[in-house]
Amino acid sequence: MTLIETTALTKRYPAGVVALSDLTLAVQPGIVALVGANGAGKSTFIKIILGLLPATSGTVRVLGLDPAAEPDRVRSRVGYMPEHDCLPPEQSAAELVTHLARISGLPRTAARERASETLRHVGLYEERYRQIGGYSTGMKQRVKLAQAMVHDPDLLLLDEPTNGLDPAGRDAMLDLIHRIGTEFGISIVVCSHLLGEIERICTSLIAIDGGKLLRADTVAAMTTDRDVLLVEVDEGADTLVAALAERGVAARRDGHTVLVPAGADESTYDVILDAVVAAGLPLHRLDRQRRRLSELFTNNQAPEIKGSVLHV
Amino acid sequence: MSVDVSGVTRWYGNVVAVNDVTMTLPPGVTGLLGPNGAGKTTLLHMIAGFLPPSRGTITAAGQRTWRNPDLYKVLGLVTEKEAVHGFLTGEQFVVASARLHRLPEPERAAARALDLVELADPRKRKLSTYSKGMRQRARLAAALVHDPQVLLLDEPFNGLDPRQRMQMMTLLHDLGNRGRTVLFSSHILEEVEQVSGTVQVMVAGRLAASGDYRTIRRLMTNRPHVFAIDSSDNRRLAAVLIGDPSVRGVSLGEDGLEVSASDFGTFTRVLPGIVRREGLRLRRLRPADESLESVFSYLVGAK
Amino acid sequence: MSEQTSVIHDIGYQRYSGPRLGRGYAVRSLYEHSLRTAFGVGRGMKSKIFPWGVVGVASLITVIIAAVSSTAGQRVISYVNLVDQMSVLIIIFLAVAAPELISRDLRAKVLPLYFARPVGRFDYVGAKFAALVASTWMAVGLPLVIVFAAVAFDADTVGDAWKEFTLLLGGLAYVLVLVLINAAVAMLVAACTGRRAFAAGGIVGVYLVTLPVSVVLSEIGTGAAQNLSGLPSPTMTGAGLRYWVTGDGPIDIGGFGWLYLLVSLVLVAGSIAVTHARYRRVDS
Repeated sequence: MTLIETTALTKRYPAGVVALSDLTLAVQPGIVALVGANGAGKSTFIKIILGLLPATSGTVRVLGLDPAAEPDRVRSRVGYMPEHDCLPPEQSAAELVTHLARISGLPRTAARERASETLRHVGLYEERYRQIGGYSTGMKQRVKLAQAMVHDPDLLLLDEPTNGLDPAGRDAMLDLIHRIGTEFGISIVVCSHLLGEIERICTSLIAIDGGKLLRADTVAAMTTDRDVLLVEVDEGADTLVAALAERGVAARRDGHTVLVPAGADESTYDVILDAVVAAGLPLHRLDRQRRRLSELFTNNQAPEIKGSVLHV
Repeated sequence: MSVDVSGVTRWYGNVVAVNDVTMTLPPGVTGLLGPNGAGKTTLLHMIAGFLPPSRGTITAAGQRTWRNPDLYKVLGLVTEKEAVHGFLTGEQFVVASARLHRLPEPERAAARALDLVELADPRKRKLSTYSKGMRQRARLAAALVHDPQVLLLDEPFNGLDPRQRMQMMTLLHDLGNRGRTVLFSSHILEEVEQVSGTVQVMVAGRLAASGDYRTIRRLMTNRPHVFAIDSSDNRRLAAVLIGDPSVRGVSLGEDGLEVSASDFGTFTRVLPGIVRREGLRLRRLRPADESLESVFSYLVGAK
Repeated sequence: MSEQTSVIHDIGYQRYSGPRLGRGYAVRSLYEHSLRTAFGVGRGMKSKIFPWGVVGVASLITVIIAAVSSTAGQRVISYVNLVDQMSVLIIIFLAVAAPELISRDLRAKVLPLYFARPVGRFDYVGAKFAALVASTWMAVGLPLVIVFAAVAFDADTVGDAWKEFTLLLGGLAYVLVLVLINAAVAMLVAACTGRRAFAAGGIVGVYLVTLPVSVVLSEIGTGAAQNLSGLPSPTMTGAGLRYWVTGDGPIDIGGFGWLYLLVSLVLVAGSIAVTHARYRRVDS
C-alpha cells in the first residue's frame, strides 16, 4: 500500500506564504527521508498528514485514508515524534508513555505492557522509573521515539530525530531507526537535514525545495557509481599521476586524491596497481566514486569530477 | 591573528567544565568537537571574553580576552541560543550590531554582512517571521558585521537545511582562506570533515587531541588499521595476506575482506605488490576506520 | 530430575493486534490522568504537598465544626454558609490545580503529543476543565461530607438523617456552582502562561481584585445597583445564584436571578471558548 499519496497538494497561508505548492508524490513503504523542507513547508506537511490543517487545494491520502475526513483513524495508525522538546519533566518515562498509549486508544493493561516493551526496545531500562527532567538528551530522544511507536503505528513520522545528539548518541539513534524500519516492519518518514544520515539509513528520499518537489527517488538511484576511480597514496601523488600518464591514463590530482577515469573495462584497476607498484608507493585507497545526495542541492547539476570530500 | 589558550581551567563550584586546556588556534578553520557536556561552549565563551578562566590565560593576538573591550573589535561570537529580538527586521538587527561596534558606516557594513549570509532579500522582514535557519544566519551576520579577525561559532549548522549548510560551509571555508581564525563546534562530524581537517577534540573538560584528524589517527599506533578490500578472488587473497607479517587479521565477509593491519606503512606498501604477484585484480581498497567519525569515537572511547 | 528443554524465547518487537478504543476512551483517559495529576498522584512528593494541604486545612476546620456540632447536638453552621466561608479555599485549590493541569502542559510543550493522537483541541480543553472541576469539587466537598457524617451519626431518626442528606446535597450543588464558574476563569488564566507561579498569581489576583469591587459596589450602591453588585466577581455571581434559589446568602440580588444565571453561563462558556481559541494558536 502507498504510505502517503498527494496530488497537486497546495497550502497557502492567509499572510500569503505558500508553504506547499502543487506537490504530487507517492511514498512507498520503507524508510523515507523528507529533506530540504525547512520551516513552513515541513511543519505544514506534517500537520496536513495528521489532519490538523486543511490543504488549500489538492488531495492527500495517508495509509489510504483522507486525514481531513477521518483524522482519528489516521492518527491512531500514525506515530509522531516532534522535533522540539515536548516531554513533561516531572513525570517518569514509564508513566508518560503508558498515559499516551491510552490516549492512542490502547486499553489500560495493553497500554502498560506496550509501554514497557517499547521502552525496552528503544533502550531505556531502569531509568524509565525516574523523572524525565533528569534525563540526558539521548534518553529524552528515546522517550520521544517510544511514545511515537507505543501504539504500534503503521507509519512513524520522525522530525529531526538526531537533533541535539552528540556523535555517539546520533549513531545509536540511527541504528535504532534502521532497526524499527527493517526488523520491526514499521514504515518511517524521517525529516532530516543531514544527507549523510539519510544515505546511511533511508531507502528513498523526497527532496522539497521552496515548497515544490525537487526530486523523489530511491537513495540507491541517487548514489550510483560514477565513472571515476579515487586513488589515494600516502605520499607521491604527483609521481603516481606521472606514472599513470606514462601508461596512457589521464589522471589528475584533487587535494590528496588522484582521480582516474574508470575506462570501459576493469583493466584500469590493474594499470593503477601496476603504476603504484612500479613507483613503490603506499596505496591507501582505491574506490569508485559515487554520486552524493548533496549534489541534489548544488545548483549546477552533477559537477564533473570532484574529490571524495566535497571541497567548497 | 592567532588565539592562545594556555593552562585554562574553568570550574563552577565542584563542576570542572574545562580542565587544564592548552591550545593554539592559527588562522584558518578549526573544528571543536566533543560529546555533550565536554566543555565546548564554556571554552568558546572564555575565548570570547564572556567568562573569566578560573585558572590560566587566553590571549588573542597577544592580548588577554577577559575584560578587554578593545578585543571586540576583532572578535565575533555566535552562540547556540536562539535569542533574537523578533520585533526587529533582519536589517535593523544587524545595523544595531554595527552601531554597537561603532562602525563608521553601519548601514553599509550591515548590508555587506547580510549579503554574505544571503539574507539580503528578506532583510526588511521581521525576525519573528524568519525560519530557524534564517535567524541563525541573521545572528551570524550580526557577528560578522565588523569583519572580525577571530570568529567563534557554537553549533552554527543547527537548524539549517542542506542548501544552507553548504552555504555555511563555503562561508566558513572562505573566511579561513582569507586568513581569519575560525573556531566552530559541531556534532556533525561529516560536516566538520568537509570544512576543515583540523580539529580540537574535548572529552569531559580535557583536550584529548589536536591537529589534522588523519594524522591523529596515525598517532594511535596501538590500534590496528582496518581496511575493506574487494578483489577478483577474496578467499585466495585472504590466504596470502594472513601470511604477511604486517597483517594482524583477515575476515571474509559477503562483500569482501576486512583486514586489520598492525603496521600501517608496511601494509599499504606491500598490498599492491601481493595483489599483482598473485595475478588478482583489486577492485576496492577502503580504509574503514579513518573517518573523523572513527577517530572521534576512538578518542572518546565509545568504541 | 525432570528434563529441561532449552529454548530461546522471542522477545523481539511484537505488532499490536488488540482493540483500539476510540476518541471517547482517549478523552476519558486524559480526564482520569488529569484528575490524578490535580492531586499529585503518580508524581513526586512535591506535587502532593499543595493539593493535599488544601484538603487537609479544609478537613481540619470542618472536623472542628463537626466536633462542636456533635457536642452541641446540632449543626452550628448550615452547609451553604459553610461553603461561603470556604470559598477562598476553592480559589486556593484552583490556583494550585489549574497551573498544574494546564500551564505545565504549555510549558513542557506536550500538546503536539496529544494533538497527534485521536484527541482534538476541544476534547483536550473539555477533559482538562472536567478534571479541574471534579478535583476542586472533591477537595472542597469532602469537608461537607465530614460534617454530614458527624451529624447524621447523631441523628435520632432515619427521617432526620435523610433531611440532613438533602441539605448536604444542596451544599454540594452550591460548591459545584462556585467551582464551575471559578474553574472556567482559572483555566483561562492558566492557559495564558506556561509559568505556574504566574498562573497561580493570576488566579488569586482575579479573586482578590474582583471580590472587593463587588463588596464596595454593594456598600455604596442602592437598589438595583446593589442587586447587581455581585456580577463583577465570579464568586459573588455564584453567591447570587444561591440567593436566587434559596432566597438567602451573602448578597441580595433582588429579581435579577436570570441575569446572574446568564452571566454565569456566559462566563463558563466564554472562558472555555476563549481557551479553545487560544489552543488553536499553540503550535502542534
